[in-house]
Amino acid sequence: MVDLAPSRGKEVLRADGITIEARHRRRGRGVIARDVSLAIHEGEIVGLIGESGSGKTLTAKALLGLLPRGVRASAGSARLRGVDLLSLAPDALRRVRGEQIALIPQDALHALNPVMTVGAQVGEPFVIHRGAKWAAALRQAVDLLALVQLPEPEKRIAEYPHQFSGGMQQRAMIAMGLALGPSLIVADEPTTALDVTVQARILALVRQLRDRTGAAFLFITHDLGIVGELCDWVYVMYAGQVVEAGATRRIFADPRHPYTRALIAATPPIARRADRLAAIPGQIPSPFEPTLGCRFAARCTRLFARCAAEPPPVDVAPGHMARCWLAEDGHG
Amino acid sequence: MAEAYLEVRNVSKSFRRGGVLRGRRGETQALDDVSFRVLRGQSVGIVGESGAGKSTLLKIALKLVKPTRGRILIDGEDVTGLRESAFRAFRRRIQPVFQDPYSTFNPRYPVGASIRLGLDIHEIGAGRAERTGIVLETLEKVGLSAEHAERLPHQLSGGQRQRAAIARALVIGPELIVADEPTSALDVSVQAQILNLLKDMRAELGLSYVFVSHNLAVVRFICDFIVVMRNGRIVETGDNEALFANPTQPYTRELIAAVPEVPWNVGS
Amino acid sequence: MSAPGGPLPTLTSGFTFGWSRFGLLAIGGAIVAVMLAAAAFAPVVAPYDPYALDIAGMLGGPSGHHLLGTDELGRDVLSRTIFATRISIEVALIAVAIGLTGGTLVGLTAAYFGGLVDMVLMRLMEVLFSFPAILLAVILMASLGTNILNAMLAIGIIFIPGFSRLARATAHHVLRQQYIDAARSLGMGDARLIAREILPNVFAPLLVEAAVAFSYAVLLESALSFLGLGAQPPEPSWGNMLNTGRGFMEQAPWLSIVPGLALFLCVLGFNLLGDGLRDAFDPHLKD
Repeated sequence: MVDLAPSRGKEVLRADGITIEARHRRRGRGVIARDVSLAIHEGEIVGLIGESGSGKTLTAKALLGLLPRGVRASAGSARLRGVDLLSLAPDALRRVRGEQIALIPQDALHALNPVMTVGAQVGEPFVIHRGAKWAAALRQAVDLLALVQLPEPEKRIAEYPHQFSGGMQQRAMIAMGLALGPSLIVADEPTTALDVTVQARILALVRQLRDRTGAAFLFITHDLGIVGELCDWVYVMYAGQVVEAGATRRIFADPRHPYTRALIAATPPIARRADRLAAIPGQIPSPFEPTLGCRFAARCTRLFARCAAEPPPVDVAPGHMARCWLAEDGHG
Repeated sequence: MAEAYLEVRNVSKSFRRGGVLRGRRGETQALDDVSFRVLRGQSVGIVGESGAGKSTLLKIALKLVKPTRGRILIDGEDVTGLRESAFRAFRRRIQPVFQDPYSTFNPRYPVGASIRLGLDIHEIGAGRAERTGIVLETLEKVGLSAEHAERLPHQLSGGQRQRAAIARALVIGPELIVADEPTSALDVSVQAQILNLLKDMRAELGLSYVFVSHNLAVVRFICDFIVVMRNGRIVETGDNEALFANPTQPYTRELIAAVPEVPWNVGS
Repeated sequence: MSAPGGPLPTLTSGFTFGWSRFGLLAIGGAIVAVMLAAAAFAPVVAPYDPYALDIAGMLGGPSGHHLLGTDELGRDVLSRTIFATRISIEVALIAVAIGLTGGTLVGLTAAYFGGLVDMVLMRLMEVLFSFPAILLAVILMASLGTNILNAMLAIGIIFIPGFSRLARATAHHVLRQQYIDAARSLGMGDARLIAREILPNVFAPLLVEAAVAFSYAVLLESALSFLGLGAQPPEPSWGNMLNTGRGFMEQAPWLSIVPGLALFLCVLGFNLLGDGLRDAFDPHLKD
């Protein structure tokens, strides 16, 4: 395994060679993610970017032991402070979840229980994991809601989710995630369903929380702009593989994988009115269709003979990896 | 001096809360005195966040919803009060492209059949054979083939479905396309394909566009003139370059500043 | 051959058979098939004429000659039970057809036109719905006259409110889809819209409901016959056979058991079929 992080803080999560498979009734066996390796260090906001079918969401779910039925991690390890999450028994996993690693799901409205007050939900982790009494748990809830900058948190804890706006609901979810002070928070597209002005505030909040609590974030998104603004480190996924990884500024300054380049070029800019967007022809391959060689080959503009064989991850510079033959010989 | 093809004049729309018997128990004001014009061949973008009223405005322009107040003019003619039978001829000239690639086509029929519907309704083309020919021609223009026409909607990818939706809109030869977030549900790489296609179609067929979106970058790319809305009112309007270079209203500035930008060190 | 973690997730678009669902559908389907065959081929399958009297051999228990015994007039119980299947199936078929057609009409109209039309229609349906089924059937039969045709009509009317609710709810869901807006924007007229766009998409859940309604229809018909309001003697129906059987419980329990069992099996079969259909049509988790 290539060491991607020579000069980052203490390691919080190290995932090595994770492979996720699914069995479909009609389509057979599919590989959702193959040989995915990530490293997240203390105090980092790491972005996991990919389009649909990239396997980013299921990879994150694998870390939390939340894979749906019929989908399993068939290889690899995910060590959170030394403990391999993928090999934990359900009981042990339940203890780790919430305490060491937490999830902020995509759709806050549907993740919140409509018949429980927000206070009860935010305070619940203390009751379950720490055996706290409800009164103490609710006091903690007030503190947490203040931490996520909800106004008048003492009033908020008695309200129900439907009384909150979308942005407020997402803040409540973040509060729940932070409750037990986990080392790693996995945020699955937490701003996708929000208005852009609300999103901007949530992104700022995430940055502030990282600064104040020192928690590390794994931020899953399809939005390059968010990665550019928020994330210190980024993993680019395509069709189940990490195709490029490195410090955000580096990746944007010198993208080495054709997919990363194409993704950047396909995103319409705000700073100027582009004449044409560099579209990527073709479609993302299905996990149930095995491909020989590079998974991006069919859509790549820089295809050449070697692409018939699957490229290995290549270090183009310390801390910058690209899974491409072009990167290997110092080209690209 | 170009003439206004579509004009929305002082349109307001309020929704009544409460049922038939309960009477007017409070109202929601979805639109409040909205006016703008779309010139022939112009592409107008309507941006705003949720609650801005963009979709309601669009439905009013398509005469799927009646405005509470105000008028709609197409090519100078006031069509607000027209009955459906009289308005049918106008429907040929304005066609929609919707957002959700999953429900944009009736799941029971192959997309080719759904696309041909417009020709049947407006009696374009002599018979089934000729109409099928027109459908196939249009499909080719949007980058699909005869094989795609035979497929059911769920057998196509999101991008392919949107292309088919564009074909459906184009097949009866409209002059104005009204698009409601047509790329919001698509991946970035597919979105780029569709946006390029829309731009090309406009150039090739001389269409006017009304493009509704919450995504400023998309509107920046495809629209000449921009209307910024908030809570049912127009906040600011202006030409693309002027508005983005010098937004005058604080909300517009907030909106533009909120968009997370990719560091553009890589030229495209 | 399933992956660890349990059975497989599936993506269904329309009709699919799954291993777990296949069971219900298969068993239910098999029973229903037997019932239908019995009804269709009754004259061929039944060993005796169901009306043939044999007073001397009355109340005979199951024997070599009469597999399921004879009734109080010496008629073969097996043959009568088989012929009774006809009545049950016929009535159920027509009744469900009436309910389905009427209910769909009412429900679609209410959903499409909304407002006052919706309110009036649905309140009417609620009035009908609030009557206990048997009571309503008895009232209808009393006013219309007691024969099989009216039984079909009465039971059909009882089903209309249920179907109308389902049709209306499904139609509401369909009306929210964007292809409806697209069709309206094309200038499609109301009639064509309902027929082409709405109806085919409302069908599936109604079909499932119809299968379940079948079993209820069979039950209702038997209840009416039991009360003497349905098939009139000497015509055999499980209901009136049960009724006469009551009087001979001690001497000839088979007179009650056989038609009772037949009724039970028929209802069970249709129920399983309905459940199996419902599961088969159910869109499952996407992977």
